Amino acid sequence: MKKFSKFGLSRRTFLAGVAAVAAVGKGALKPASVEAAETADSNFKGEFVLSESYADKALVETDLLIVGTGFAGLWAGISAYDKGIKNIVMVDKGSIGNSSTASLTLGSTDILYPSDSKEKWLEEYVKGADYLSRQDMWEDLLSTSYSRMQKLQSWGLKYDTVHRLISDGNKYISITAGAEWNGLVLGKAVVGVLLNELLKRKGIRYYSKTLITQLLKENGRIAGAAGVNRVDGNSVIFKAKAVIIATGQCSFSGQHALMELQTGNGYALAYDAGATLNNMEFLTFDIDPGAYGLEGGSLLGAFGARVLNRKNQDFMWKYDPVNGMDAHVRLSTRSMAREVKEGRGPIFLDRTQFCYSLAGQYFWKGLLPDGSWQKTNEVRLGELGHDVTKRLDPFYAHSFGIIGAVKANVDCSTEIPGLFVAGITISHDPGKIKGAESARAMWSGERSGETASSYLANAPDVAIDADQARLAMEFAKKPLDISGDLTPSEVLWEIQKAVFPYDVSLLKSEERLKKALNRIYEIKSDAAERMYAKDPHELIKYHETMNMLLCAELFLLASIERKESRECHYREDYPKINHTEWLKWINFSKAADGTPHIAFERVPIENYPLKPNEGDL
Amino acid sequence: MIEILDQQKCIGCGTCVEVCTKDVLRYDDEKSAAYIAYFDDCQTCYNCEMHCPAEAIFVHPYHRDKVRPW
Repeated sequence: MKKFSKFGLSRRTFLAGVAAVAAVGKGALKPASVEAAETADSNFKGEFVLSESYADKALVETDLLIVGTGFAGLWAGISAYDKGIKNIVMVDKGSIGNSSTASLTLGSTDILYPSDSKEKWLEEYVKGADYLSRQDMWEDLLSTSYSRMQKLQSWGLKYDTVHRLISDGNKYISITAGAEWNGLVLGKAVVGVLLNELLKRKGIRYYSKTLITQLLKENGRIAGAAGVNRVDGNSVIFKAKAVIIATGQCSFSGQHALMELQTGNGYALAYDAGATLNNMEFLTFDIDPGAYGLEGGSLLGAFGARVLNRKNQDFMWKYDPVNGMDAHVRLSTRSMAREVKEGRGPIFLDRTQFCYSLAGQYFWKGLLPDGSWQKTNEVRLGELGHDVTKRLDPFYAHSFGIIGAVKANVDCSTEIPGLFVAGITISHDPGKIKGAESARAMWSGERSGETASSYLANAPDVAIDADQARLAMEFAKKPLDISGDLTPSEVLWEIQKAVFPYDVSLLKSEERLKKALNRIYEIKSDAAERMYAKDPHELIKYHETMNMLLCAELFLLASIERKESRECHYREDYPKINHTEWLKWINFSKAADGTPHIAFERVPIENYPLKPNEGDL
Repeated sequence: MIEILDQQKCIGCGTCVEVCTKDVLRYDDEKSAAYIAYFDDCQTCYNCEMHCPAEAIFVHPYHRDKVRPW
């Protein structure tokens, strides 16, 4: 078996020898003594950062808590530190950096080069999202885009600018691919270079395997957060004047490859703390075989792959005569669902021509180098006798994530003083254009770090009273005491069965959405009574499952409310876009009785540079 | 999904446990070796295998059964 050579072969640990944080005594919360983190290794090779440990009921004090360590969280740490915030804690429910979904992807991103037209790009993004974009955020993102590329380059990252692809039916927006750094490739290279920069900034503390379960407030301001360790079950209170949430989206622990970490935790944290969520009706889909993973499947069409129905018809040309399978992924996934609905399913992926074509060879060599997840996966499949060049594989539209998220200002601040959001956790644009999500992550990561540092310059000190801390830690660990008979995995399976059928999520109708919502309420009621966690590992899954139940409820409620079709939200009973009535966001906030309160917010289109055509309004 | 974690080859460095994205792997203090604790949660990300310095891990590309849209 060929061995991977792109990763360091010796165990390298960083920030080693950091003292454990002491437990807080009964009742009173006392700051634990924390030894300063040791000097970070400046020759970080992309292995891992060793976490600090903590005893049960520990108190960790910091100025800024950053939750999530993907492109956004890491960038936020660098940016806040460089703006003067030295006391930073970074938390991840998995491994710092390594478990970010971004690190497992192609890592390609949209970069607006000086020779590109900002106006043209903006137009394509906004039209692509059917005008529900936050155009003010796009303006800020695009204006600062190239400066981030220059920073990445100055840190040593190489993006192979030769591999600029134009896709999704666009003429101008291009995606820059082929990231490389220190022997690492693609998403791991980007995370590697960001983590390396962060580690150069001394004194930042890292906590892995820790799920944040609740945000804590004092007098309406953020005062910190409670969390729990998935290995030893120890609970912890982070006292922090500001929190940045950069925890990705909700794919319902998806069917698509590498999306299982996307459990909507950041959405639930912010919502429970009083923030607003919107664009929750936009559950995006991508394509993959399902039996095995395929990252970047929507790029395959550009390189000669085809999707076939049961009758062996290359049907995508019927839906998009210009682009065929290279159509926008929202159209290809919806078209696959239509073929199935009309009795021509199942659907197959045909790469028999693709793999032998010059374009296919280019795809492999240029976009998927040795050491990438996708290349590794395909080589391994071949070695095991599953030759994708010689067979047709069943092919599906798989949930990628609800692209709606936490409502924020253009500077990434939320309605709650001290709470900031970044990455896909910020509500920005319901469109799905390749490379836009990583561009958003880097922009909002950088911007949220800057805004948080300005906030901290004037923020009053915060206190967490002992009762609040005790209740939050009890909440984090309570599922361990429940004697139930449903595991989180069993509950999740039921959520997925309610949400994932194509005639609920891809081809929506009021009747089917309401039926699915009723099923979610039943599952919620069952889960409240019967779901339990037998150990700390299951405890984290318990909290994730509860968060996904909330996201399922909001997804279905929003989908029922939006009586039109827009972007990936397609209603069979309202198949047309309706700018007159629906150029608005559906906002959810948690009402006093705990139920979701729905409000509508008009898109301030008159203040934006791009507007739908006169005739459309 | 992860198929093999060979405890004979494992040198007990704990790297795979730390880099596992889904907390599938745990460390056995008595054996000074990693083991597969939560097999069903593996998401086939290859992190453990790629980082293992002892070639003790093999990840199979096939996923577990998932809920399909059709």
